[in-house]
Amino acid sequence: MQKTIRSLLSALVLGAMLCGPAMAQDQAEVRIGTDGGYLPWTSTTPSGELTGFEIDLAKQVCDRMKRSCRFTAQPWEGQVPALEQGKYDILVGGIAITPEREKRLAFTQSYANLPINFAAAKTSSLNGKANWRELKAALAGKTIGVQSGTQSQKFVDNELKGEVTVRLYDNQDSLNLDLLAGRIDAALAGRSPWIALTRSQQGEPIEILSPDIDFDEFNYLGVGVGGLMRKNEEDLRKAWDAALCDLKTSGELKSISEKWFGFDVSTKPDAKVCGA
Amino acid sequence: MNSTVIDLFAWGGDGWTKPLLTGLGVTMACACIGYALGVLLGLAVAFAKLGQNRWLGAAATLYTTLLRGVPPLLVIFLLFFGTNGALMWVARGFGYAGYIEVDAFTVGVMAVAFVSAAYSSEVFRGAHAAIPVGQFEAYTALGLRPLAGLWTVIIPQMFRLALPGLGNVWIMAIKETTLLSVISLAELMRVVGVAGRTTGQPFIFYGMAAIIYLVLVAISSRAFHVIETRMRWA
Amino acid sequence: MDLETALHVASELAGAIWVTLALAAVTLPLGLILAGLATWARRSRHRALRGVASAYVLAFRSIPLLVQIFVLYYGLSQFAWLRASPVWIVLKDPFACAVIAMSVCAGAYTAEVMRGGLAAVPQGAIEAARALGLSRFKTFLLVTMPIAIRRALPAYSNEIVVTLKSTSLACTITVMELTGVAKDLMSQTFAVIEVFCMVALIYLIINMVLIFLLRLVERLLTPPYQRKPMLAGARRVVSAAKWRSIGAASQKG
Repeated sequence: MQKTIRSLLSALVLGAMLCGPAMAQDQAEVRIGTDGGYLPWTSTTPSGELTGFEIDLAKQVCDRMKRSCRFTAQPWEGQVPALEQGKYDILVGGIAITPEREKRLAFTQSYANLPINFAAAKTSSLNGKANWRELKAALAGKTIGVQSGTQSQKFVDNELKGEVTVRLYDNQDSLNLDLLAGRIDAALAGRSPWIALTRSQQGEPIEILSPDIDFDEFNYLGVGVGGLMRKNEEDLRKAWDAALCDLKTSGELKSISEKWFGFDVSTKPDAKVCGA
Repeated sequence: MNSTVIDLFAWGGDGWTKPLLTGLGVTMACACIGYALGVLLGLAVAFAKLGQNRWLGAAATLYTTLLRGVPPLLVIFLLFFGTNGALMWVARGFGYAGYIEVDAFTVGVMAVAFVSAAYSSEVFRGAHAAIPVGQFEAYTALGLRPLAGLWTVIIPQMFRLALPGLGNVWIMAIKETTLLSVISLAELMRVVGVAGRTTGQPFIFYGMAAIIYLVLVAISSRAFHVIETRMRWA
Repeated sequence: MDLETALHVASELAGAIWVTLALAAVTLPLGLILAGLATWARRSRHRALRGVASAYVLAFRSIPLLVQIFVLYYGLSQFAWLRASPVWIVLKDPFACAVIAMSVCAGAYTAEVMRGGLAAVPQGAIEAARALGLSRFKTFLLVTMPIAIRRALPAYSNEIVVTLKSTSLACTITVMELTGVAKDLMSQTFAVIEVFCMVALIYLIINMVLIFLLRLVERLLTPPYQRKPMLAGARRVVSAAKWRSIGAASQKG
């Protein structure tokens, strides 16, 4: 029965199939999918070339694995299905390692961990808190914006539920607009978008709040950012992890990080993977 | 913020006129293709409802009830998140194991088509009901085969009677394309949003979008009105 | 979809139903009031008033609702003087912005429905009432309005469905109503079809309940001698359709 329905429907989608199926490529090549619009993680130059922290990093990894790599840019929304269906072998691009994602897919060891920060107007009473406890007390009753599906959202859900009003945004730009308009008292996001905002002309009235949200203290936030892959690709994962161990101990990861972020976002070698 | 309004709309360089026109092009392409497919599908759905096959009729009724009762935005999310998986499932039954990707434009066209189809099928059904029974008898009496009679006598009259309704469906299609900005299709609304956010002048850009859509709708209603009056004389 | 996910989805959606209902419940009466004002203005003796009302109805029926919402929410918030004014107390709130934009839009559409209803009132009934010595106001209140409402109700029930559907746009400005929650669930759980079916069912049920209630109102407003059993109309339409299908069925040859 299922088969009949399938073949019937197949006739309908024949046209759609001709639109651009990407056939499985040569298996020796590692196909890397990335967003290409998420500075400084991955970005696209005006000439269409991919650059960024993770592009540099992945190139180093590929060198060490002695395999050729091919990068393809695709918006994040379509990446996971494309990975699952075999268009890519690995995805990179500031992807946080989370238990939910690990249920379905596999991660390499983490290679970066960027602190998340609150941001608010310079005139806000939230400024200049010495530690998280003080900031938390000041946040009570406020309205806070976060981008949906991020670690920031998870943090707010866990630490501030019931004490603040949470607004969810689709993208960082809309979050910025409402923060600038004063619709929200503070917003939580990764440090890099805040740096970009505060350096821009529009973002002049905004300030990044201390303290950094510490991933060691709130370990449910995950262990940072990793490469996302299918579960059945053990060989590639092991090779990738080994290369990462190497890059971490040699200090190369740190220097790539400083090149793109201006500070060190790299994580320590994972003892389970790299050994003691 | 220092830039004047004229700078914002400069041609080329950092001006937004070019991207806005491109966005308008995408909007119109999506609305036109989606609407055309939707009207054809709507005609098929209408005949499924009018026909004697009970299952086909029930399926058609379910389709229109669903698509007319559910927010178009929800339909867009369904197609956006669901189409890839569904296509691959079907293709695998066909013996194809590769990867198929549906881009935002295709999803947009599909969304406009499916929703327009639901509404235009009702329009066509109404038009069919408005055709005098004598017309059906007449083509039978003339010895035309049913299919030929349908094609030469009934459907042309249906289109004429359906015109005002189809005009409304077209205007709905234009409006529906604005929702496609939520799936990052670079149509007019999306471009306007990006422009507003990067320049810090959302009011000007959204206001301009409002005027553009107003003009589009005004032109459309005028055009449909003209066609209607012409058809009446024909 | 396993049971755990299904329960999670169901509980998330249950919470969002109230947001959708609240949006519709505030928007519909406000839209009615605006439509009433517009209808009154369009029948006024003052030309300027008629012009303003007609422009309002035309513009807000032509501009897509999403554009109206964004102009109000993101557009107006760019002005510092506006943010400093008392208006900001309302505009600061996304729920209020959604309700305002939707009400203004629904008002324009409903004004057209009202015009249709008024146009359907037989002139003879009004003349008869005037001949009986009723004042203009009493004629309107006792004769014109009840007939017009009854005639406008079927179109208004359509308008209610449109408004209910348009509440979904509130999710674009951070109001987490049914469609917004559904979108989040689709991207989180990947159970796209299941989530869609659940949400679609919720919308359809709300629609059906609202339309049923309006049918009851329509019946109450119909004089008893004109009332038909609630299903008779449908049956007649079906039999007429069968008649026509003599022609339609011919597509099968």
